[in-house]
Amino acid sequence: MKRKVLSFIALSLLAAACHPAKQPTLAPETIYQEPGVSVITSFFNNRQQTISTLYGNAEALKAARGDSNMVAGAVYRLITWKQKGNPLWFGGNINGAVKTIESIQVSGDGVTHYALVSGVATGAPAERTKFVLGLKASVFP
Amino acid sequence: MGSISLKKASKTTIITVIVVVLMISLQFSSPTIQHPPITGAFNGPDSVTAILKRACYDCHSNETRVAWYHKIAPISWLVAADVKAARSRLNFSQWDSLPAADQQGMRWYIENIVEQGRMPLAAYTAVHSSARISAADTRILKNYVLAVASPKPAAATRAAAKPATPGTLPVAPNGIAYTPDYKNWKVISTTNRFDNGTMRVIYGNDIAVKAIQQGKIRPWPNGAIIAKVVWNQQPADQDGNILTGDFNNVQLMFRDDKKFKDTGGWGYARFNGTALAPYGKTPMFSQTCASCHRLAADNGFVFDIPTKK
Ligand code: HEC
Ligand code: HEC
Repeated sequence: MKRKVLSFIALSLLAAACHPAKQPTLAPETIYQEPGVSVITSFFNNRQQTISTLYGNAEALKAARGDSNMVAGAVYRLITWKQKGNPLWFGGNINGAVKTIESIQVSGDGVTHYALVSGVATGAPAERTKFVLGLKASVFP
Repeated sequence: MGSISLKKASKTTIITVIVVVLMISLQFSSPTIQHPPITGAFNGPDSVTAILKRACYDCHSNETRVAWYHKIAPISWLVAADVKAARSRLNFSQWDSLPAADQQGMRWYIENIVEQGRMPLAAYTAVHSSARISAADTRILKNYVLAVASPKPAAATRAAAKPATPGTLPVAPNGIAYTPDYKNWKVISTTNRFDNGTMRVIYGNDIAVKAIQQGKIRPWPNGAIIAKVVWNQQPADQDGNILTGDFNNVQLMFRDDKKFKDTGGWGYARFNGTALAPYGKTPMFSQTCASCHRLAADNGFVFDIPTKK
């Protein structure tokens, strides 16, 4: 009896201490991992329900902080994810699965090379290149 | 046989007498719940106020309804402690004393803490079934926070793109120093907030990214660091793109289950503006960070990690 009472108390304490154990299934594949590039800027679009982050190499980052993004050697990667509500906070949105990966390189002669690395095209290469090269760097401290 | 049961009986009597005497003497030091004046009551739509009055006011206002059994020690101790703690965190009778921005933040906090079933306290609803929150109540609260919130987008431009990083790194009141190292880490998620008109990029150091890849975030390994960079939003352009506006702040979380035991194993720090002014007046500031981050207990107290759903 004593044992029963004790285990009952222990169980209720456990139940009270542990919030329902439901760790969500993680999605590490949505993390973009390419050495040598860092964040230039980010943006989102509620009409498309997408979130995007623009990465670039050192040349691209420098260019996006200046007046012109047409700098030889600049490499850009634009990752666009589906946007979804934050499961743990009503009031916020977070990126979901990757939708598209776009790549732009500026070669020595000022010529640009566009490639849709993954996903379905959302615009003509010339249009997309113009848009990406027009993005300015976010302010970092 | 008779003498044994007599002995037993007298033992029980003695214990009963001791307990009764103890209980009575406890009553002399039993706390009484004060009802200070209502200085600036919460004023929202009647449907919302009705929910809060029913489910929260006994603890989070100066209008605590005290039942007779609340006056009996040791129950009185527990109730008084709850009411004291609850009023110190959030008091609907002094709602007006919160700055407008804090009221705005608190409304969303209330909606989320209720939606997750963390408030009202379960021990309370077990006894006060009328305080339970229904799905309809949650809908009312959701519509309310959405209706009140419409943060104005920042200016259409952003300030100078190259603020100088200060020579010495600023330090938060709890001793945590700012680090610019995150700029070389991986981005674990990109987010935006419609409750306060900001947008964010969240970075993790190698230990944090590895923990996500291995699914080992409960608890997160010591040494994991997460950084969140926050910007104001610009108004949408003609295609609906919302770009970053002015830089707002950087927030950091350092994992060390021993050093930061009091705040759930995470050390919190926040640095405001391009001057990176440390946030918080005393080390206690990090308790408010940790309190709200309990809503992300499912993720080891981190909200913004990539998940399937
Ligand atoms: C039985 C008493 C009780 C009731 C009823 C109750 N609370 Fe609480 N609440 C507390 C206590 C005690 C704390 C502080 C201790 C803690 O953090 O767990 C708290 C903390 C909070 C906080 C966190 C404040 C902070 O600074 O982090 C919020 C928000 C909150 N309550 C909202 C509500 C809302 C909304 C309701 C009604 C739907 C409610 N509570 C009902 C006792 C109560
Ligand atoms: C009222 C609730 C609340 C408080 C208080 C709060 N946070 Fe958060 N925090 C959030 C939410 C919600 C998110 C995720 C949404 C977003 O901002 O992207 C978040 C995200 C973060 C992140 C990114 C990692 C993560 O958990 O998603 C850091 C770092 C962080 N907060 C630090 C802090 C610090 C430091 C403080 C105290 C100065 C603090 N927070 C106070 C709610 C809160």
